[in-house]
Amino acid sequence: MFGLYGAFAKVVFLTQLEYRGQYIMRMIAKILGWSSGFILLVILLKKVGPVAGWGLYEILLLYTFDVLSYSIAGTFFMGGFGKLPRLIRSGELDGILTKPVNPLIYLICTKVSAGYTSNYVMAGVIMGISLHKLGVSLSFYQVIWLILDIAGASLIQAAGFMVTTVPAFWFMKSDGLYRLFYKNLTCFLQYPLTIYHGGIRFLLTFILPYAFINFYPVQLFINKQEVMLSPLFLFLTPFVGAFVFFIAYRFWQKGLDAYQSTGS
Amino acid sequence: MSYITVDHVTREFKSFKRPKGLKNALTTLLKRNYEVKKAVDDLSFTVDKGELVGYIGPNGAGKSTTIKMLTGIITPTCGTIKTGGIIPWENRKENARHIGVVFGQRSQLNWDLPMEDTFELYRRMYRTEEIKFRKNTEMFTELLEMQPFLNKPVRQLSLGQKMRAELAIALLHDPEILYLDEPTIGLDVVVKDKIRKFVRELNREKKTTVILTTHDMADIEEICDRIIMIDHGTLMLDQSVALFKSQGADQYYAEVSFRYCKEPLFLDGVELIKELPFCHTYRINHRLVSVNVLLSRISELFEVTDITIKKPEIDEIVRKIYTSQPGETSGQLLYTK
Repeated sequence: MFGLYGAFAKVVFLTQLEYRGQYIMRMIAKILGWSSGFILLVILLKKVGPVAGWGLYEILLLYTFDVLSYSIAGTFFMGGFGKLPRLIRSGELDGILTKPVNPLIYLICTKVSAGYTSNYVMAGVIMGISLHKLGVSLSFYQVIWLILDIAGASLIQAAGFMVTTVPAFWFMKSDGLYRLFYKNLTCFLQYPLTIYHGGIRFLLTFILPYAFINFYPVQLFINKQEVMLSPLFLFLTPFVGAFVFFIAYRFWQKGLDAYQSTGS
Repeated sequence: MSYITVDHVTREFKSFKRPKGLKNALTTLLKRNYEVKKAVDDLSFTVDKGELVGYIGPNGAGKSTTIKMLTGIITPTCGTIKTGGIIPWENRKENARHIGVVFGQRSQLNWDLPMEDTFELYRRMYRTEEIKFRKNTEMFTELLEMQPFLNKPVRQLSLGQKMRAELAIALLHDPEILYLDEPTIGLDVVVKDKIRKFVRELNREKKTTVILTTHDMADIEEICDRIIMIDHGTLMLDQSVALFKSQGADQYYAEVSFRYCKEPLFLDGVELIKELPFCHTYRINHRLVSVNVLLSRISELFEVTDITIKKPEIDEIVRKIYTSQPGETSGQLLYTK
């Protein structure tokens, strides 16, 4: 079963590399886009000094968790869900529904994006530098946790994409929701949650648990335990990820049902 | 036992009524008036295995909606459909294994892949056995003459080549039912012909049931044995193509080319419908005028250089039926078998 979807994903991924010119342009655009944000952050922190006790490299670590998980989620989910309203309107979704496949997995595999590869490299390098500068040497178990955390964080990001775009099944458009509840709210992740008002902390922890993307899991590696209800929060990311992704999946199924009974 | 059963199916759409004026447009943000439209209204028919059915109707008659329900993409508001014992929207994946779908207006092909690779992906998707797969690819490649472009990426193919490719991938897994939604739209005569022959051949070889929607009546004439016509979501007509064509048989056309003409032909049951210099076309009701009388009158009045007798085409019968249903009210049932 995985073989089939894997074959689709491989083909789609490789053909994007075939358009070399476009691929390189995309990479350059991405690198410039992300690195300007990154450089701005570094300059700001160098001027201002530590933010609420978080030093430059600690904040950069937050940043890499966010970028890396965003890129992994983007690789698989952005192609399908970013264009969901268009897929619905153009009838491409109809084509998927007449095939003997799981629509979600098929959608993910046929819309895999190769556009995030530069992000992996960039975020990976910055993460390595930050960990090194902070004098953190990861034990074997910490490496495992790091991988689990990134996986969980990616699931949270993916759930964020899905939950904010799936309403297109009912409203035909969903850009507004995506921008507000995903793009804008994840901006808070650049800085430690410590600096925000309690209401925002509550929102990002319990309502839209974006704080589990970086703020809580990162603290495990830098020996902090700030604003968490329990030390357990250090380890919750993979579980939160699995849980919210499950909810997002159910929501997607509801959306498909609605499409089938309202579709045009 | 019929293979496809459509039983009193109704499908409603809620559509939002857009009012005129800014003030009214603003109030719709708070309160909306929806208009419920029946795209398909209490529709019933059955299709046997191996039948070639032409499913026609004017634009907006509910054809695509019916196909979407048959393929399991949408669910009806009420009524039931069974295709091969399966309720399509309840067992969507299971149903998908037994059907092949070609939408003439949208492509299912991967733009960057050559056909060969797409075939392979589809083989895996439908878990088609290797032997069956190889036999089918060979057969389709030959019948649809796809050899020259099998290894070119799809984006380089012409529309006609793409459509043939679409047909092939929809059929690799030997579906029992093939849904064709306007498969010949925008194609040239030669490709149309290839596709029509192919569908007939397929039906003969594999007993595939075919449901075809089209606006090209030549498709119907050359592929189908039976016509189902709907308008405003209701069944208008359901009969064999042969019987359908015989409806216009009490009329025929005579196109007379001449060097000289005393006066135009004037007889009961004969009507001049096109007048060109040295060429008249008459519509003749054959119940009122015998061919003998007609020919003798023509030879009296004209110095004939050429004469052509034409039967009305299926197109014309259809046009007559479509236009004889004025207004928004649904027409009455014309004929069912």
